[in-house]
Amino acid sequence: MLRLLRGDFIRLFKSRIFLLSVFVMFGLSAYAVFVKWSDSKMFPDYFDPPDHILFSGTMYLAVILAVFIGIFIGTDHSFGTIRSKAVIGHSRAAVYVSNLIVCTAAGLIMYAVSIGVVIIAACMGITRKFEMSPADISAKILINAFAVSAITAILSAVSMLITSRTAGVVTAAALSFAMIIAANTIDYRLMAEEYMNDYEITVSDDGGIVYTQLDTTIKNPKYLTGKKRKIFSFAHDFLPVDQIMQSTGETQEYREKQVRFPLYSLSLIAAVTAAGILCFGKKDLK
Amino acid sequence: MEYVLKTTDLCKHYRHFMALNGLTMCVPKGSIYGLVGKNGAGKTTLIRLICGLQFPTSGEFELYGVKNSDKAILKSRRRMGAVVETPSIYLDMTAEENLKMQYCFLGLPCFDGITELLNSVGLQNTGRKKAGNFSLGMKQRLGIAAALCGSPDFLVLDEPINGLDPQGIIEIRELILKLNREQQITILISSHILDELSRLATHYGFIDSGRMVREMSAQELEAACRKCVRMTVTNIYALARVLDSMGIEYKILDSTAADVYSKPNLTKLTLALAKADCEILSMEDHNENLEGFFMGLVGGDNNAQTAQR
Repeated sequence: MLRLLRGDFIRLFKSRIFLLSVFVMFGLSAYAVFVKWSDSKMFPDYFDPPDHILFSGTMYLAVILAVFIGIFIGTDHSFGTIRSKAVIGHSRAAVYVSNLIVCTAAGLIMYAVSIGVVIIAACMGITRKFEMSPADISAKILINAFAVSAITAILSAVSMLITSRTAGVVTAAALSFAMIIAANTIDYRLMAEEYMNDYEITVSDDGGIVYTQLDTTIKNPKYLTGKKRKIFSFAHDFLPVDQIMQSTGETQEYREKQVRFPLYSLSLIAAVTAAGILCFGKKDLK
Repeated sequence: MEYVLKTTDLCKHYRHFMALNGLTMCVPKGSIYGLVGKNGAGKTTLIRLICGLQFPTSGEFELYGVKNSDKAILKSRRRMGAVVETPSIYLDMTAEENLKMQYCFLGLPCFDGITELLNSVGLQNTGRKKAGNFSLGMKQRLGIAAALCGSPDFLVLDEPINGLDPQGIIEIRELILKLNREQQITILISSHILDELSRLATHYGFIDSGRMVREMSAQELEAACRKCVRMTVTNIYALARVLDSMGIEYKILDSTAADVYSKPNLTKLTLALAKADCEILSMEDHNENLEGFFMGLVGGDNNAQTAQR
């Protein structure tokens, strides 16, 4: 296993796609810092801490990771080097876990670069200081590291099981977009108000439609209740992209849930990896 | 005889397609074993099973006496190197970097021997050129060099000369012979280019429709393909007696026919047979090459059934 890890890490640090991915993450965070800096110059009296941009790059990480992992593992498949590892006596499980560890390390490096840029900018006074306490920042960084590892585990499983590099990249990218869309949809549905203002729609004399807000409120048909709300709430806490999304929001609510998040991520990593090893172990390699 | 590889009733099904159908074979230690078969005969499937890339549907094989169902098979595989279909190399790395990667995966403590390996496959002057820019022959040789990392004593090569130019074919042939003669590496080589195999192999396995039709040594094959005179006579016992008395090598084929392996003096032979009350019904030159032999073996269902019996 250590032999595989040594070789795979050498390949990682020689990989152009890895360096490019790190550069993209750096660029995204640097751009967010630049926008904050220019806002603070334009509105010097307005206090706008960089809290919500700390993990803004991490949201994009799912897509960057999908492309990186798809290409990194897909290349191992297409060059036939995965099979050469099996031929020289490495178990399928060892090959799988080695690739997973290397991709997780790559994901965490990209994540560290992404948040590092914002933290360094805040420390150097380029942006304003964080409003969150150092303890909250540390907790969120750690919890999101677990979430990033869970995303890596899912994308690695997909890439290990699809031997075509192109199909692997496309599937991993589609999956990461699906995770982001699902996170936004779930967030939108859970954020919906239970009651909403009633409106009266009338037609004016000139034929135009006029909306008039009434004092009464009506039940929002999109408001989730009962079992459905419980399922959506659980998915919102369980899914890693949702966890990252919540880390950019209100801290008090996050603090109440934060103990559960790493447990959810760890259980997701364990389940996906176990299933991945099982399927990869039975897969016919060509 | 000591065997590196033994397979017993090995079967591999892909849904309804039977790629291997009860294949049994033995690869003797120190041999160059030529696995001969048409496209789709099951050669690559067999190699994939041996290399652990796929799993048999039924049957088993032993690598250095370790069964495929035994966990120790992984350890046995460390003694083998393989080039299955295309060479397993990183196209974005140089030849040296590729071998260093292979050394890492094998857990070798240092990179000693890489220069010698590159020299042995003729890639010592490739410098910083990436493997992606190599010719097909160079990639094939780099694949073999990677398979040779860790000094394996069993090398499996799947169609190593496919797509190579004549110069590349000669280079690969010489490399294989050198490895076998100088390092005593047992080599299993699959090919459907019979002429090329006949210059290398010490043993042959003829495979068709996932079955082993016949296994034989190069000497046996040579004997089977020797130039001879095929004689049909009325009394085969009389023919045998006469040929024995004349010191001529022969092989009885059935109750009326025999192959005579040297040019006999026809007048003397005819007179001697007439004296023994034996008539010559026919006499013709018989010359079978490897291709003819192979086609004779895999040419029809009857052959496979005969072999199975």
